[in-house]
Amino acid sequence: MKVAPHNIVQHELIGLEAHVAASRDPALVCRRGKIVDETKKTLILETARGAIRVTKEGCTFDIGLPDGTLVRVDGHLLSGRPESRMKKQLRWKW
Amino acid sequence: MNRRRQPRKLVRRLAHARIGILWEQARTVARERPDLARAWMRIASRIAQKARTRMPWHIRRHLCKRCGAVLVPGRNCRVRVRARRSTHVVVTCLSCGTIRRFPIKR
Repeated sequence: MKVAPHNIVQHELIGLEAHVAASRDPALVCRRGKIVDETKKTLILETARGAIRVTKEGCTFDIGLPDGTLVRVDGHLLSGRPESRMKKQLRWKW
Repeated sequence: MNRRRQPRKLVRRLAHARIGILWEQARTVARERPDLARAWMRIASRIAQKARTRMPWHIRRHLCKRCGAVLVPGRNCRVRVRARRSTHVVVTCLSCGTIRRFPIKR
């Protein structure tokens, strides 16, 4: 099962390129890096100038998948430990 | 009540894919950044536990069962073939000293 836009919430984030598209903290906007670690509420990005910790909540990420597509994800959906995200199901409210 | 869950088969397939991704990455950085590789394999083993699957055998034998380090022969583990008793391979983790023996099947 490959990483795809429909299953990114359940899939592995480590190793993917991420770009902070919007954030409640203006200092974090436009930071870009490789995801090296993940906790329940934060992502650790390895940027050109060292590692930074970004909260998932309150940020919107552009995540580049291995096949080259870009996905824009609300960080709130990514919250949860890496292993508990696996069984997470999204409730679609239109 | 009656909340639908994902079928277990799907969760397991996902877990295997994620473990594979983590293992491929951990293997490439194991020489330069052993701590990072170890942290990633810890996540992988937690994923395996959560999905109630086994870590694949070809990965499990490259991890120290005590400290979880990714073993690179000649770097942080010693691999010896011993012919006494029944023939077996002894893998010693050089960071914590754990010995693991693998019998050789004929």
